[in-house]
Amino acid sequence: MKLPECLELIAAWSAQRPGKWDGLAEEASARDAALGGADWGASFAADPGEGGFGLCAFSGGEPVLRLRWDGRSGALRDERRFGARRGGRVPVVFSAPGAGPRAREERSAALAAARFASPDLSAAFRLFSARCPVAAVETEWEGGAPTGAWRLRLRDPEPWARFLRVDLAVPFGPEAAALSLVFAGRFVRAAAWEGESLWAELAA
Amino acid sequence: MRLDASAWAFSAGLGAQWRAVTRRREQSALRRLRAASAACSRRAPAALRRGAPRSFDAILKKPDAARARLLTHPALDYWLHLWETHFDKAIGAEDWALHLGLLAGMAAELCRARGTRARLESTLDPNGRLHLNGGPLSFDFGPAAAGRPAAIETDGGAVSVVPAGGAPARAPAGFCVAAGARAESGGAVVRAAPEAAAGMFVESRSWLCNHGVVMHGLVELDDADLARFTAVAREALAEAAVVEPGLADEMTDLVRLLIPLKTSDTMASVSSSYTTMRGAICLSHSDSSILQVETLIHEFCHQKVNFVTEIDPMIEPGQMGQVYYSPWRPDARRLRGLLLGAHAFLNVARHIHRRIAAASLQDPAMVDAMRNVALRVLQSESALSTIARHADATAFGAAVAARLSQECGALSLAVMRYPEALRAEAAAEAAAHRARCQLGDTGLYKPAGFEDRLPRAAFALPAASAEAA
Repeated sequence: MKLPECLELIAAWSAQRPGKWDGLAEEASARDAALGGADWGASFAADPGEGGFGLCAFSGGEPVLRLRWDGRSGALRDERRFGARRGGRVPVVFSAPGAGPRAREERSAALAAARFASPDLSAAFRLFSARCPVAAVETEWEGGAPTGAWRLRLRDPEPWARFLRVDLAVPFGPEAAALSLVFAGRFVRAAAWEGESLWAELAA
Repeated sequence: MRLDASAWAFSAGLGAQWRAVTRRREQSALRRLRAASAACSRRAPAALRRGAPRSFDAILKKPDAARARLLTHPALDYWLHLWETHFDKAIGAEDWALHLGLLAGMAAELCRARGTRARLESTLDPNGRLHLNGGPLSFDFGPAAAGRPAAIETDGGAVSVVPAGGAPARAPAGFCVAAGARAESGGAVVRAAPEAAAGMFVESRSWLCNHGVVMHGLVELDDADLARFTAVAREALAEAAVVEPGLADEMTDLVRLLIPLKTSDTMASVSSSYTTMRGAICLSHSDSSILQVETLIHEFCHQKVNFVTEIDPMIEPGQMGQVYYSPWRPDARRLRGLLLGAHAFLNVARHIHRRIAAASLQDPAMVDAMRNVALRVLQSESALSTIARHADATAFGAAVAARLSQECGALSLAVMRYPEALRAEAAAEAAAHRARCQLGDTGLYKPAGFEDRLPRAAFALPAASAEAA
């Protein structure tokens, strides 16, 4: 989808909960102009306390820019710029307000080949993949160590209502009604974990 | 084995499928018990390692009908659950002694039923009792004897229990024939739990069987209240057998324990059953056999689903956690809970409707029962709709849901013969609940305080526009 559609989705979402979203459109529009009008996707945190959502710009299906917005402070939380993919690795420049840019890397692997901290997590992801087939597990690394952020990229975008039924989506349960009003007809392209919250990345 | 959805959605009696699922459950229990025996011989405290094998051997080494009954008993189900959830951790010697003592009680019941001679080592439970779980017999030495080692001897159907430093208490062969029997022997009260149906005992004192009952308060009934509770349950089961013999056969085969619950402060009937104790139904007392039969069928249906999921989970794994609108409750429930609810409420509604139809549809005394049926059908339709929209069911689960939907249709038609105002009242109640707790007709749960602030296009009905003009 194009940025205006993403922003309308975010406007609909922000009508459902308190937060500061005003500056986001301006920040995203400036970047969209620099990118020459990219395709965009929106992502939303399950935890209401997280108060956040994000935007991701794509080129040829590959991410080029990812923004995370903090709805509580009303400011950009962080930004990732993606380089060209080489094999299963994508260089990332991570920046956050008040800190210099940091070199990171996103590594991609098939679910069967991915290694997780606990067998429980691995089993949960396999169950998830049985319902929503996972194309790749993407993990973020900095200085040779994982940052703890991971993403399950789906083979086919899953309709929101069908994504909602799986165990992994349980954190979205308490706000299922409100979220579903906004996300009706949308598709989930990835589930991601960053910090303390689960995120759903939506496509048109 | 290809499961027949009709037989599991409703009742088909103790046919080949029922027996096959029962056998599967026996094999599963046997496998789990063998694993426990092997682990016990490696990890149990040295003092217990000598006696424990005799209890395991009594169960594991002789396949017969008595063992088959024990392997599907809720007490053994729960014993295995406790074993699997606790005994791979660091457990104190007292817990080992208690747990193996509880197993010895079940092994002793097996030896008593077989009439064989055995000597087993046990430990009195935290109430100072020894229950021969699986059967009706118990020995109560009082709280002061809690945790005391005790030897159990069985011979020709007679049982003696000798606590360390105490006198032997004895139940002669045939003591259990008089269900509800009570005697004093060797400083213990010896009891035989009463039967609500053949092999279905009312038990309010077993530590093992009470331990897993967490949803409602337990009550130890005195002899008079126990007799009253049992009499109503017996009457309810007899009435069920008249209306649906197949259902009654299944109930008396699967349900082996009725555990009395404390009646709630609001005097409402309460009941529960547990996946970890298949074959036990917990329920409060009511003097109404109609109410008790509803409760028994409802909880039995949950047990039946838990029983058949030994073979087929009905809902594909990976979607057990998310919660949806439940037409029966103010809070949201899981998809499996909705299927369990529709299954139980439709079985009860079908049973009650048959009773109403067999009496008279024009009898004012049946109005409450009719209202109950009309409401339950509407609620079940709603739950089945949510399952159809949101769940990935297994082939068997989908077939069961489809069979339940068909029964909803049949009952909806039957309800058309009820008084119109009654139907309207039930429909209004179901609709009010949906409006309060469901997002539109989506099956999604709408929490209290939810506000729909989604921006929408302006729109007004033509009539309203004309009026405004």
